[in-house]
Amino acid sequence: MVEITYANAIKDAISEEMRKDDNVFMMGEDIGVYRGAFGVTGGMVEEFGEDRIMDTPISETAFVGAAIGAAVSGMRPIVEIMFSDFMSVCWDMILNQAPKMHYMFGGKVNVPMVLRTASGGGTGAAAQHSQSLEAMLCHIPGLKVIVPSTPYDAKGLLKSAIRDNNPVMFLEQKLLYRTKGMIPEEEYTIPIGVADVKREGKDCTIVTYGRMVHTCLNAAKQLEEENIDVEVIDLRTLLPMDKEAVLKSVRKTKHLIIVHEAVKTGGLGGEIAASVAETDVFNYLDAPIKRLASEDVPVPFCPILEKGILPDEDKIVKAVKEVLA
Amino acid sequence: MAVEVFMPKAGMDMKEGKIINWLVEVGDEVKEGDGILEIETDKVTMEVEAPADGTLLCKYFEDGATVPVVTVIGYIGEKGEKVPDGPSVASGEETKEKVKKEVEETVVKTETVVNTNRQKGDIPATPYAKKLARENNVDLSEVKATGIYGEIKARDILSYCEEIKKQNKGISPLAKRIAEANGVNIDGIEGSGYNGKVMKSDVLGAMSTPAAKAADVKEATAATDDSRKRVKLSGMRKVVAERMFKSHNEIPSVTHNMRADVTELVKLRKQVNESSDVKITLNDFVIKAVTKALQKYPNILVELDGDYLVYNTEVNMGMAVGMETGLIVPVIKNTDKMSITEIAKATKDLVYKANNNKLKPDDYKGSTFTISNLGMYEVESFNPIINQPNSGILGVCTIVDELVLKDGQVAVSKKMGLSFTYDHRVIDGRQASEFLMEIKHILQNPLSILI
Repeated sequence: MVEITYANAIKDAISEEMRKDDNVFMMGEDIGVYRGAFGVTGGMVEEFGEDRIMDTPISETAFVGAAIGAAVSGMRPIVEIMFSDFMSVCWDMILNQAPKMHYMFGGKVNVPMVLRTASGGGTGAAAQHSQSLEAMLCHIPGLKVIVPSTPYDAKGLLKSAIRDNNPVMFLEQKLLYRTKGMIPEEEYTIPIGVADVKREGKDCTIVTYGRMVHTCLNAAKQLEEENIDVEVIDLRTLLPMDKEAVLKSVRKTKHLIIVHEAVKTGGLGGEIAASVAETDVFNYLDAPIKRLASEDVPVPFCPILEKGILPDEDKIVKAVKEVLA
Repeated sequence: MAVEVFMPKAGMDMKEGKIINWLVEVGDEVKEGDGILEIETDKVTMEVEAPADGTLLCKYFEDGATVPVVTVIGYIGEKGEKVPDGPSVASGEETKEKVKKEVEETVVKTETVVNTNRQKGDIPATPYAKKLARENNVDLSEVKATGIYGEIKARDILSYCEEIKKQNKGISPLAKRIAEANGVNIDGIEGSGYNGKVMKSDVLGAMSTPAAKAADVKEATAATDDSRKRVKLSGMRKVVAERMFKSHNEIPSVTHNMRADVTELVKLRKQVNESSDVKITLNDFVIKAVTKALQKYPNILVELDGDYLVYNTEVNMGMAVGMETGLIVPVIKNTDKMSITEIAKATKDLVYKANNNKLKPDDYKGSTFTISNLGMYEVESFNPIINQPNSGILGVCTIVDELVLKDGQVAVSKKMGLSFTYDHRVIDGRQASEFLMEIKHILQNPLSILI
């Protein structure tokens, strides 16, 4: 096992796949000599050259569209959109083109594209550079949506995404790029669509993903001191979602809290809650389901306000105690 | 067009009524408002009035039948008018059977509906608690809720099951009521509830099995062999029994006895009656005296409602009226706003109605205090049972001549016994004594009653 940052785990995943498969290449803004806005692609242009680490103009529709075309033609493009907020300017590509082609062309066409982008807040980057828009993507059948929380998950899932023959949205967490974790030295992949129990517990299930996984684990540690045993499930893939993992856990703990950084209204929390409520596992609930999410407001620039609208350890601890009261 | 005569619903909780006797025959002319039959509810007996002018065209039920409320029991219309074929076309015996069955079905139906509703909606419980309750045949209405929203949680079901396990064979309160009402012996019933607890459905099941019917016959035979007379409880007797038992069981009551010198009062009454058209009884004086005492000590008009004390502001005097077959407490409303003459009239009217089964439900509702007068029977003291939801009742006893020393001289004084029983949960001995002293004081200075 070696220790590695989240950013480098992503770079390693791409580099390994590029070394193995000449069809894999990257496109994006300033990913070459500038190393990418978050430094993920540092040193890659030196190794793979400008034909495979391709800097693009600031025109997301053009280069995402080009990537879809390349994918249809047999390449395996990886596109980086600097901030996930900018998906809006190439929304037609994400909504109407990439996920629809395989279906509308009767299965004759595949779109093996990965769209990587930096998602989430906590960086003081204000309302247009801090959003968590995964719920919008999960509303589009034909896409796969991944939000990794650790270097290990990021690397294993990204390699699977690159090898997948469908468009995969890979939402990296800005605040996690510099965090470190252990990964095996030998090659590994993680299957898409499988959740991970990050902490086993018997009293209450917390379902979460992305950066909030760590917040929840810290809260669980606090609660452990009070003899409250929380199970933390990291969904890892949001679409397709591993609902069975959630159901299994709730059947055990009888209590469910969902935590995410995205705004509450229309967020994945509602989907997860409904997935439990519409099955027989509903009968195992011994308290109302709780959702902890960002307030329904644009992300404030003021760091104090930004912190205020997001779920944090204290809010999670309080929620767990309420649910178990 | 023939007009329906139906079993009235003379109270929110009335489910059925018994036809005591028809006062008119089929073919008789009746006028709207005429009493055409007498019925008995679980609270009172009353007359059913003709809803229109016309001829009584049919009776669907005979005397003695018990009929669910708002069931059509007859028709009034023009002679010869056609009326729907009712149960009355069947022979007497069949009618009885049919009625009995219908009543039973109605009872069962209502019970089931009530129970399902409560199970499903009215009792907040978490899904898991409900699941455990289903699996263990626990009736949620019997489980204490500890959830922060007042909901029943899984732990509540589990501790309930623990509790039941500790007890021997149990029976749910509803099942118990049904069993008692129908004379079902629960010893022989296999309970389907948690830990063999006898539930409502078990009792109903036992009532419908052939064995139970055979047992009924056997019991009936046994009853015939027994020379003692057996009388089924009338509705009124049942209500009296239930209410007395409930009050006696729930209320830690204390009785204070005092004796008031009513020599002056007796004289005053004589004087008043010499000049009054309305005959005023001693009881009327007592009602007014107690009313005045209550106005001075309104805290006696308290009711206990769960975690709250509810203070009544109206003085509505319940007057226990003993009849040959039972007891009823008509209420004289707002005695604080009435003169003694008005009280005398109202009391006379209510007692007449009570003795002639003419009381309407409103006539015996809403009391805030009660008086039970046994003075005419040489009773010297007793402890009456509180008429819930009141918290106090005054027993009025007989008047006895006593020798007393008055200004150093032996004199004869008339002493009336007063027995005040109160609910010690809400009234303390000090207040009770002060209140009773006030009554005594007023009775001993009777002019104040008239003012």
